[in-house]
Amino acid sequence: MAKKDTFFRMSSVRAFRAFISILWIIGLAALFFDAVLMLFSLLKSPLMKEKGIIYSGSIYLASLLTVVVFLWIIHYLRKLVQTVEQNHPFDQANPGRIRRIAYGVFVWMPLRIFSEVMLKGPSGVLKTENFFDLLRSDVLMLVFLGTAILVIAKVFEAGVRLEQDQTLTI
Amino acid sequence: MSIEVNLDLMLVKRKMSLTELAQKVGITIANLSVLKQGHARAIRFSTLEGICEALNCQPGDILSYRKNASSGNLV
Repeated sequence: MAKKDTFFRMSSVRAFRAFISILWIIGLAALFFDAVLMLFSLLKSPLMKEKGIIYSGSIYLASLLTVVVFLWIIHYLRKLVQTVEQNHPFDQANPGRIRRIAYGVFVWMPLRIFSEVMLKGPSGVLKTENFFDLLRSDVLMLVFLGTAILVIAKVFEAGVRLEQDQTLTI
Repeated sequence: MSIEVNLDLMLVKRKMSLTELAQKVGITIANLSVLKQGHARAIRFSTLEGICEALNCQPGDILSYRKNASSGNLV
């Protein structure tokens, strides 16, 4: 029974790791496409002539930064899953990794607001319907998610301390 | 903490090696080494009992309290 449980647990961890690896590849591909292809399309687009290089360049940079933050989160998620796979979920570095994931989520929030403002314009975003939509679906959700991840990091810190106590009890 | 582990002293007194003690107590040399160097956070009564039995001594011969101690073989 215990063997069966371990088998299922390890299979699910491996499946999750494979899923994260796919996300990592997608992120890298997105970074490449954003960095190279979007730059070319931006240079040719009428937006560049209409709104100028600062406006279109800032959309380009925000898009690049979003992908970088995505890769940052995936990188630490991969490291976390690796430690779970190696049967060391309470590795000393894990609380720090979880905290960095939370910081990534918090950085994602202003980027999301920025891109919304750039795409719809400040007046478009401040329209009651759009504003509450953005607040509810993105800002509040990301704040809630980031805070929850920070709490999990705190729980992991306590877990690491308990694990060390257990290991160093002779 | 200010608890000092005098395991090395008792080993010298009983002319016993760490490996021999580890075999008699039934714990790994690595764990015994952690205890000897004062890196352990706690010690189980069963381990203490095993060490006392193997070294034919009292817990007080292995552990001692020293006020304001900061280094050495301290737990």
